[in-house]
This record gives sequence, structure tokens and C-alpha cells, in this order.
Amino acid sequence: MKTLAIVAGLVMKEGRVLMLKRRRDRRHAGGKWEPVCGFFEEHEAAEVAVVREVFEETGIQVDMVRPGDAFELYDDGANWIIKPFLLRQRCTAPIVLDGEHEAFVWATPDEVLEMDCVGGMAEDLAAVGVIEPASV
Amino acid sequence: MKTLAIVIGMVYRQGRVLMLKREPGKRHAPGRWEPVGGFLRRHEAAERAVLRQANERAGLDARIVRSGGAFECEDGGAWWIVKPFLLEPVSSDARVELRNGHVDFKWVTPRELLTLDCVDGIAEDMQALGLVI
Repeated sequence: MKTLAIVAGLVMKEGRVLMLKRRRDRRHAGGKWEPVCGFFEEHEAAEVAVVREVFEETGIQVDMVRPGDAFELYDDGANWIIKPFLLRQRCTAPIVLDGEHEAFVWATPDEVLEMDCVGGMAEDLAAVGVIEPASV
Repeated sequence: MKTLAIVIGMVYRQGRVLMLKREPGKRHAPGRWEPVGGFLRRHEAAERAVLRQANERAGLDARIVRSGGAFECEDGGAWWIVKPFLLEPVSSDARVELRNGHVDFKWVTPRELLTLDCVDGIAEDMQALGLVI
């Protein structure tokens, strides 16, 4: 078993969360929806990593709202340590997707829970206080 | 606050765990005791990182006995995400060779651990790994 540590960035705007659709041809979780996420660089703080990942994956600048507690989750053959953050878009720049994603949507938390997402989505939302822990 | 992700390895042998004393000149937690451990490299699995750290810090080839659940703690003005592992030395002589960042080492019982001036989070490490203090 491999354990991998990642950050997840939940970018909110007017009550909606920015969700990205992974390209269908990706080896892991192809075609599934996810928030911005990515690996830490060595020695990099999670707060820095998540803002960097949002910019790399969407081209937008964000401000930190608050962190959520880290949690562990088994998904798609690996064990993940996920540190989620609630973020806010700084201005109204357009979203420009990187090569890893093929679509994006601003979805309400209820809509997110109905989407075909990677594992841990409800835990992410609960950890940053967007939904009640009981919904997980 | 900065949040940093690390792995730690409690190397366990004959009822004792390996603790290393940090160099007195270190900016963070100088002179305090800690298990082997350190930062994950980009895309590096925690399992691989902790075995690499055992080798880089203490010159030990080790294997993983089990892992504990990740937890978070505050220490030295930073917030740490810690993934702990219980390790055992591969070879029976378990010779320690300090390689970087440390000036001394000890194999201590969990009870002795309480008397050492340790970095924060040791009690959580021990608990997460089922090594009750």
C-alpha cells in the first residue's frame, strides 16, 4: 500500500464550489470530478501548495478562508492523507484549465454530492465546514 | 501558520525505540530528541519516505511493521501533519550511524521516553502506533 499526502482546494464563489473534471484518458479516476488538488513539494507549506495548485490548474488567484483538519482515506488503490482548505477567488479572472482537466463547473454543495467524484469529496466539504459532518 | 507534512519512524527493537538528539544549532527544536523522520519528497509515498529517512538519519535499513493514522499537531510555531510508522531494523545488530542533523542517539523504553526532552507529538506518535506510554 502506498500512502500519498495531498492538498485539496475548495474554491467557493457565491455559495458554489469550483469542481474540475479529470480528463477521461487519465489512468487514475479518469472522467471523475474533483476539487483542485495536488502534491506538496518537498519542504513546501500546505497553504502555499494549495494556492499554487489552484493557479496551475485553473489560472485564478485565491485567498485563504480557512483550513480543515487533515484526514486519511483509501481510494483507487492508495491511501491518501488529504489536507483540505476553503479558498475564495480574488477577482473575476476567467478559468483556464490545464491539460489535466476537460471541464469545470461551479456547483452547490448539494450538487457536488450528486456528482461522480473522486473519493473523499464529502469529507473535504465537511472538514472545511461547507456541509455538516453528519452528511458524510 | 505554516502546515507541513512529515513522516516519522519509531524504530522498535527489543522493547526500545530509537531516539535521536537534534543538533544544538538547529533553528527548530535544537537539542531535543526525536524519532527518525522528515519531509516527503514530491510524489513520494510515505512508506518510501520513512524508510529513506531511517537510512539517511541513522544509517539503518529498516522495514515497516505497521503504520498509525495521520494526525496534526502544533510545534515550534508550525502546524504539522504527521504520518507515523513503526519500523524494525532489518539486521539484528541494528548499528546506528548518525548521518545528518543529529549529535547523539539512544534506544529507550517507552517509560524512559517520558523523561527525555522531546519534540512535541511524541505521545501522539506512540498512541497512533499502539505503543502505549
